[in-house]
Amino acid sequence: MSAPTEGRDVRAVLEGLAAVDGVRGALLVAPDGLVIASHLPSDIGVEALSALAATLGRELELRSSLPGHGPFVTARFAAETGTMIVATTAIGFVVVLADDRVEAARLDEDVQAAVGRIERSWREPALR
Amino acid sequence: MVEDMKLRRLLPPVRGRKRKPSAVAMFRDASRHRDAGRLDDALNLVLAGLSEEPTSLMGHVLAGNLYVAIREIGPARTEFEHVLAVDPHQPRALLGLARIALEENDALACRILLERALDRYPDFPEAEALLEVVQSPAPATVPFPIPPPPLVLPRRARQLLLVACDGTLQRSAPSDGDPDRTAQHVHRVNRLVTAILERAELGRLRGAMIGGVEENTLMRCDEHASLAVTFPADLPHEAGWNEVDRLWRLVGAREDAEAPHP
Repeated sequence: MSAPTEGRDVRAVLEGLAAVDGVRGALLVAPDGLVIASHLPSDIGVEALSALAATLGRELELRSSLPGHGPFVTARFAAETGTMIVATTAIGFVVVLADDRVEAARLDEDVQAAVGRIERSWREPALR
Repeated sequence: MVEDMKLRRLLPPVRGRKRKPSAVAMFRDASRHRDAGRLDDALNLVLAGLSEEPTSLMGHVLAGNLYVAIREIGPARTEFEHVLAVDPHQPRALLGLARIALEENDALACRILLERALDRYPDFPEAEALLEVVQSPAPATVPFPIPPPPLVLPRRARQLLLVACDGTLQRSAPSDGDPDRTAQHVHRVNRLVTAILERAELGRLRGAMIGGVEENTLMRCDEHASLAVTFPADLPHEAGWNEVDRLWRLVGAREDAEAPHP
């Protein structure tokens, strides 16, 4: 029987991101499409979004096989009324959806901090 | 009495012997590890379960997904193919193989696999969402009523691509460096992001910045085309955006050249 350590509770990390003013939702998805944690509004179907997000994450990861390109760290996509950020971690991809009220610089910092927490917690051994 | 003593001598070793968990129990434990993100532990348990019950399709699907999760695509493909050889309509194996096909730039194979899954299981949101992405968009308009001029690679830029909304490469520089393959990558990123933004009701994609360790790709997009320029990471973003916006105007004075940068 295993139990998650405190640091492994990525749900709290995602909750923190989702609480930022202007953020519509956040998701941590494994490369196979499994949702590890999510905070999405009920009108966004999590199954479809996770499949798309995981495929996008892999596509961005695989750009390192293209000539002149290396591994991706973070991608920011600007839309007409909002922003999406995708960041990579050892266990999967962090996806944050925000409307145009969000403060871009602060969101960047928050995403980087979240990625750091996820990475650090996954290096800790699990309690067995 | 004698019988009782005989039994007592026998019982402790029986009580102490740990029963080997069943394959199903190992798969269940593996799912728990996987849900918590402990992918290696989960895969080890699934493989142990499969050594007990090698014919378990559930086990092979789990193994396939876990191999994808740890980015080992060869073994993942073997697992999914094994499942489909036994059950040609297993939806998760079809989805898994479809995603591998998409990664390998085989949109046709991806589409066929997804359609096969949806044919049997019409309520399959993951397959439906990916099928939307790989279906070729009907070119609503000619991307460039006037052919764009040749584009010169900006100073310090590594690569420049102008890709139409149907994925065809319009302009590229330099000519080496497999621009067609990179154009397909830009197209897939564009399609996937557009599908996500639509679901989140954030409007159409206008631009992107894909940050790498050594380089950044800056993109301007509209419903007709995408312009992607890759610069070394040490180039200040503003300098890169100035170049991208200048080129974006050059290829057709796109209306959003003044939109804020991502």
